[in-house]
Amino acid sequence: MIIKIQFREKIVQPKIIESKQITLVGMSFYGDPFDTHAGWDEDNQIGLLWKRLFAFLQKDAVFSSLSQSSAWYEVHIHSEETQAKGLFEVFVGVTIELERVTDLPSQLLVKNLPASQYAIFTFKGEEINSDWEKILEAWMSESDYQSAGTYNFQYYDDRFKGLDRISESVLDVYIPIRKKSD
Amino acid sequence: MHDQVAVILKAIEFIESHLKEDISVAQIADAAGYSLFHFMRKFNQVVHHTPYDYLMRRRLTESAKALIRSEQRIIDIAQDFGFNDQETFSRVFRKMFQMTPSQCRKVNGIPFQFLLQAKTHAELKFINSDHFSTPLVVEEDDLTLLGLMTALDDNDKKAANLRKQVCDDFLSEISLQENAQIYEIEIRLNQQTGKRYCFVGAEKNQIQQESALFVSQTIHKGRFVKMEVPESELSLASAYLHTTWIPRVGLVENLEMTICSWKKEKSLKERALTILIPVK
Repeated sequence: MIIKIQFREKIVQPKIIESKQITLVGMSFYGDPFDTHAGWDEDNQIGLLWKRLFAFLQKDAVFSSLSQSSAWYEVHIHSEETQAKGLFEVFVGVTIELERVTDLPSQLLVKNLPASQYAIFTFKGEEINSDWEKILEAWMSESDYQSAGTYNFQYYDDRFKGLDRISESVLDVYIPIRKKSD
Repeated sequence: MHDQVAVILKAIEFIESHLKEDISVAQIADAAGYSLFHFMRKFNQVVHHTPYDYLMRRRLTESAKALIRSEQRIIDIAQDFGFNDQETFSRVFRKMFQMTPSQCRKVNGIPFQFLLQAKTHAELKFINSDHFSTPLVVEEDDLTLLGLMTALDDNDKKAANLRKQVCDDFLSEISLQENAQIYEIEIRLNQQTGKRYCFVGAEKNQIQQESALFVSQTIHKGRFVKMEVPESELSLASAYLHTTWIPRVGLVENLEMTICSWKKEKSLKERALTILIPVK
């Protein structure tokens, strides 16, 4: 109930767009992202995954230019185990031209996000740390749309200033959608 | 943080009332009123278990209690708690308790400290308080102590009295240097019988007299989990170490002993205790 009130007050209305297929290159993790097996103040698995990707790209002779990219994707992909056990695939990466895909080294993976309609939600400052998935779910149940895929992704560009400057940061979240009547 | 603890306690209550049902992490998140992903982040932050790991450990703990208390067949107990076959049940049971369900039944139990009881408000408040200090993994050398020892009763209440008795005897009979470090050690002679002893002592050079009552006890060198807590939080810290922190970082206790030590001081303020647990 509280969620709905917040939702209405803020009038969170996503932007609806049509997107072509997006081809990403990056790395992925499967499991509970918060199962760290380490001290509590250390990075969770998603933070470690980003670090692993940056470290690799910076050193790679051919693909180091990708580390200069200004836009990054964090894709959360649900499986049969997601609802039951809380296990996700988390993929982090950057767009790449299709013709370069065949040259990739074994450390990097390709992820194709199919052409789709997307709802884009924009979150600012502390909203980024809030339970925004709840807002997405609430919007979805009240809108004319339904989910068109078992994933969503976060889009980080130069409007995102980093976790230490969250109050000045902006994050876009994309969910694939289609009309409920379709 | 207080609000978060309250929300997570709702999830914990939901788990408690559905231990024998096939529930999903998504349903638990729903009970707390969070989205699945946000819930997983918060649950980990507050409880220091993943929700699924916590659910499994609670089920295994209650199934261990059922093994000891009832004469139900093992396969029936396994199925009661949502494990479809006995092989899977035995494997995860062993992973948590270092013994199989049939061994558990044969020796009539599992040491109390390895059972993950439902997290309480007090325990969550303790691990989320500002003064909470993360345990450390340390290497320690051989340490030989002199002191008094007694066998403990199986009954936990009687055992606590005996522990206090031997501690009082040691401190009243022995003249110790001020600031001497005192060690209270609970020793398990045999994993199978569960027989326990309590030793209270200090390093030899700290003791200014000789006595025929003294026994020598060595803490063998090795790796230990170490945590410092005020005395009033000893039981919360022990439960946290044995059932949450040590399994979570992937360590295994060597089950021989648990050590608790403090400095002899005249001051009346609360004792600061150091817990040391040998691990593999």
